[in-house]
Amino acid sequence: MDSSVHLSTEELYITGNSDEPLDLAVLAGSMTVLLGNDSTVAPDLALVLAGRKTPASGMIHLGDDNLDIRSHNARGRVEYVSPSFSCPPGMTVSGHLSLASAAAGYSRQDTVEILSQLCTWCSLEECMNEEVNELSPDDRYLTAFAAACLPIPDVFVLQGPFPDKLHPLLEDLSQGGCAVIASLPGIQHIPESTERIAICDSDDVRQIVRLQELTEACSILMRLRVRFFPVLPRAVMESLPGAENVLAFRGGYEFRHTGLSAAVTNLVNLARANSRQIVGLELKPPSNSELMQYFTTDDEPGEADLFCAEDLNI
Amino acid sequence: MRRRPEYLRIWASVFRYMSEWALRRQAFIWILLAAPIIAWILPGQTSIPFLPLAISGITYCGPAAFISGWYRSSARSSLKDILFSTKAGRYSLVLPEIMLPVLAGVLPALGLALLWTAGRGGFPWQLWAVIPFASLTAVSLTVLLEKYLDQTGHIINLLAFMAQASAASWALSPVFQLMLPHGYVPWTLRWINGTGAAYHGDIYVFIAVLQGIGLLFLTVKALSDSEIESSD
Repeated sequence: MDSSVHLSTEELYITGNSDEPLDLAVLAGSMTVLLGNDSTVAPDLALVLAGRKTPASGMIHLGDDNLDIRSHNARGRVEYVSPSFSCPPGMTVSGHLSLASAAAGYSRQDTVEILSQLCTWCSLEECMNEEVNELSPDDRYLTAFAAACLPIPDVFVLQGPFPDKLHPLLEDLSQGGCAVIASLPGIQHIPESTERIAICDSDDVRQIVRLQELTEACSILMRLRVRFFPVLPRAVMESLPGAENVLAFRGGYEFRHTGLSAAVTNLVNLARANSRQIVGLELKPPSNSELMQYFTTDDEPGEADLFCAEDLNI
Repeated sequence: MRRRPEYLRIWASVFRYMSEWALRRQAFIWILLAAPIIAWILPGQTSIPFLPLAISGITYCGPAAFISGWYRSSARSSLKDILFSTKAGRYSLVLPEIMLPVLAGVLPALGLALLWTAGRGGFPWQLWAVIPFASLTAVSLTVLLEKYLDQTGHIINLLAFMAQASAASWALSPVFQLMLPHGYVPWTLRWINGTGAAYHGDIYVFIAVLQGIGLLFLTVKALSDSEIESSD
């Protein structure tokens, strides 16, 4: 993988409430997720990194030549894709892509060839003559994505959630040396090829973790919801090996279990032993706040300052 | 390798989508026709021949019909999102969106002016010059009134046109003739006709150019603002 830095921040404060500057370097060929819903800074940070919004303070540099992201020369090198994308009435997919290709500087002759390749890659061949505003949200997102690919940018910033069929395309892009940054509201939307996940709250980026660390945290924090018919007594449910923090809800139970396959095997055995049917089984991923709590607690073990050392200058 | 944007193709696209947006509106035909009709029924207008009144009306109403409501439309907002952040930049949208309405006023008005002056020994340069700048002023006024006054701006715009039309009547003071925005076409027409104009045709051209260019700067600034919220 190319190790050059495509995007870097300098003393960047996303909002006025940010505690400390964000130090972020986005490498070529990497995929970073900004995890957080609309109430967090994740969508704003995506806009800031795309040069579409001014941060509270600080700078974002593009490439090795430290180009300001908002300068004219940076245009076309950072592309932003929004889920609220729309087109003027009557504009078809091919009309939109032709306009985007003209803006990207392709001649009429080159446009035909490049659009044909692009639409095959994005699976848009079927809807080239359809009106963009009448497409399904997934196809509309893919159209916006295809248009954003035309200038061949160094950095892609995507505001999610986006369709699952985009995941392999993003992987292709990052393998080709492009840096991908995606703002996503929940862990269920994170592509498999993501390397780093920035967990955001309402003021700042709280933690940056690797995908493997997040996967481990999810396996610990995930909760299973199960429904039996007839209803299983709570005492029996609590006897399930490995089940922790069992909570009852209408018609079923919710609990935490460290191993998914073991939990399912134990549940099936429990149901069979008690002549019950499992009528519902659901896996509940941890919320962003639970993840944040997990990582921030885990990050600083034993730092509880029992003796107020800072006040005592120890 | 960085390529140069294909501006002509971008402009052609903007022309197309702006025209489609404008022609789909029911208001289009009303803006085009209502103002000349109002002008026609104003006191003192019935004595004016049809062609000069049509030249004056089209110079203003052609641009107004195309640009009225465009500034806050979702169609413009979408084009802005597509084009502003590209290498082509914001002027790839701003220039054609000014040019299309101006041409919609200038081309038919100049055509009618040629017809009207055909039997009068030629086409005076003052009329040739004043028409484009009056159309440019009409575009600027429509955009700026809509930006700063939203719906109220459209009403004031209509009143502005009616005032222009009334400037064609004979009873107004010479000072008023130089104060009225985009009223220089009817005054130049009257000057050519040899009656009613207080000043030489060059004065109207001078003021029209000054006003057209001055307002154009403000309009380009307003249209290139990236923080506009669309209303539909």
